[in-house]
This record gives sequence, structure tokens and C-alpha cells, in this order.
Amino acid sequence: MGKIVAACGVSHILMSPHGCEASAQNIVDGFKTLGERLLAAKPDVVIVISSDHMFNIDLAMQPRFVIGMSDQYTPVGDMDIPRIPVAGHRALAEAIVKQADQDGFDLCQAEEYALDHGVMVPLLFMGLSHLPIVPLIVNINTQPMPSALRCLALGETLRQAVETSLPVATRVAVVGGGGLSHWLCVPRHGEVDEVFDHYTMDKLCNGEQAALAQAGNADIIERGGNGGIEIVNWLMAAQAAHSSGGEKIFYEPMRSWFTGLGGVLYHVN
Amino acid sequence: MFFSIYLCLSEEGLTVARYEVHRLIQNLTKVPGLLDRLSSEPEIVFNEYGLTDQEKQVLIEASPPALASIQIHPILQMLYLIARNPSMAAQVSIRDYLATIHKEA
Repeated sequence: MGKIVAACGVSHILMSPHGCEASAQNIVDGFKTLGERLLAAKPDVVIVISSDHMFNIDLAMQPRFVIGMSDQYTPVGDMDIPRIPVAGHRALAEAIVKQADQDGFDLCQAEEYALDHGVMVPLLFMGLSHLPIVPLIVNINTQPMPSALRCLALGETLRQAVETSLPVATRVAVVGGGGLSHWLCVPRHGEVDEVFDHYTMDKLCNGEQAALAQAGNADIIERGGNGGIEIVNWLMAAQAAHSSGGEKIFYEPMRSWFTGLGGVLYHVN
Repeated sequence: MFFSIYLCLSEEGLTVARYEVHRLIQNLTKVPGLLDRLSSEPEIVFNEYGLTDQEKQVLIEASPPALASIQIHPILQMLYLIARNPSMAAQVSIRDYLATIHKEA
């Protein structure tokens, strides 16, 4: 049996610090602290749950969930992210696919997947890029997108896969990336809803990921924006960890970046 | 703030711009040389993708209201704006943090 030893929800973007230096530094420091706390659990591998920003999953092919199966991934290089390869963890990916198949999830298996900022920003700024990863992508780009409840169920599948199909020594961290509130190229573009952001993080700090999921995608999008729906990735990570709560590590409402950013370290059970 | 006006999703969240436009934009990050060709020979590229005159004008203007006017997918709007606007690309970048990352690595 493997074991999930650490998990978190965290935003997955940074932009230019010019004009917002203090807030940007708080965010960088928050990523670093969150990463240190995850690394303290000595994970061997990291599952990174993210959305795709149409570098891989575009309108040509629209799978609901994609999982990377490869031994190595090369970043896209968006946002000037260095194209330094990141190791993959095939055994864990295969375990997840098998468990998912049993649980009724048809994961799209990708031997090639170009990592965009959604995966790379958490890895780089949390200091995790030296660890092998399994990228798990939730397609929120097109309708119908996976429901929050469906993401919660897939989180349970991740846990079962880790616990039933991996060697005892394998220690797994789970990072759910994206959010918080942002409206991208729709009415309200550029707004940040601090109430939604704190509500979401507080709920997760109380172990209430199921309640957040129960509210449904439409409610999340209404309150957090078409980009805020990325919190389904946070919910999946929380469920994989059987999180009983968590600790708010950082939060900044970055209107010049069009988004609220935060990070919550989960209490793994 | 770079953006000011947006309207591009139906109530159901479905994009309605023609796929031909979306296909061109999503290929900008995938087809080598396409972005350069879009700058140097836009009419030829537009015709290769079968764009209408209205769509061509929107992509030439490359402003948020123009892109929203034909209901281009929000993410593809962002990708197009970043591709066509150097100041936008500089804003949506981690280049200012790279020295810190490399130092800590």
C-alpha cells in the first residue's frame, strides 16, 4: 500500500510583480511555505490536479479528464516558464487508471502532455519540480464540464489507487491547483471576490469539501467566476486526502492579476 | 487594467464563435511558424483557415471587445491577446521571478 502523506489546494499562476511588489512577495512566500510543509512529509511523488489552458485540451478534442502516463514531461513554456523536463511516475498513473476504470471513470491516458502554468507554477514555486509527478487534468474548458461532485468522487478514486496498488514505501502528495475567484474574458472580467475566496478556503479549513461540491458548478461559477470553477481541483485533492480540515497559508486579492490567490494545507487522514 | 468590456459566453457557457476562428487561435501555440506567418502574411493565413471578412477584421484589431464581439472562447481570447500584444505577454509572465527560482533550486 502507498499512502497519501500531504495535500493542498493552491492557486496556479503568478504575474508581473511590477506595481504590486509587496503582495507578489507574499504570494511567492506563501507558495514556498506551502511547499516546505508538503516536503516535510517526505513525498516520493506528486499528483498535480489542474485545468488545461488549451495548450493540450482544446476544441479539437474535449475529454473530461486526462492523466499523464509518461516517464517525463516537457513544459509548454507559456508565461516564460523554463522548458526543463519534469519526471513522470508511470506506476502511479497506471494504478490510478486501473482504479478509475473500476470506479466508472474513463480517464484519457496521455503519453504526451505538455505542462502549462497550471502544473508548473505550483511545482516551481513550491519547490517540488525535482519530484516525479502524475498530472491529472480536469477539463473545465467546455460544457458539460465535470461536476464538483464528480471531481470529489475521482478524489476518492485517487486515494484508493494509492492505497491498494502501490508499494508500501510510496509516499504521495496531492496538489489541487487553480482559482481562486476570477472572471476571464466574460462580464466581470478582472474582478476578485474576496468573500467567495475566504468562504471557499474557510470551508476547506473546516473539512467541508463535500458541502462545497454539493453547491454545484453553477453556484461556484456564479460566485467565483468562470475561472473560479478551478476550485474543483482543490476539492478533489481534499477528498483524496480525506481532509478533516486545513490551514490557510496565504491569500492575496490580486486585481491587477485578475484573480484571488491562496493556498490551504490540508490535514491528511 | 488591460480589459474593459467582455461578453462572449451564452448562459449555458457555450462558445459560439465558428470553429474556424478557434482552430486558428489554438494552433498558434502548436503549429511552428504560424504566429510569425500571421504577422507577415495575415491574409494568406486567414484564407487558409477559411475566415470571413468579419472574422479577419476582428483578429486584425485584436482588442478584447473585438474578440468578444464574435464570442471567441475566453481562454482563446487570452491566448490570442498574449500572442499579439507584447505588453500583455510581459504582464502574464514569471520572468521576474526566474532568478529567485534558479537561486533556490
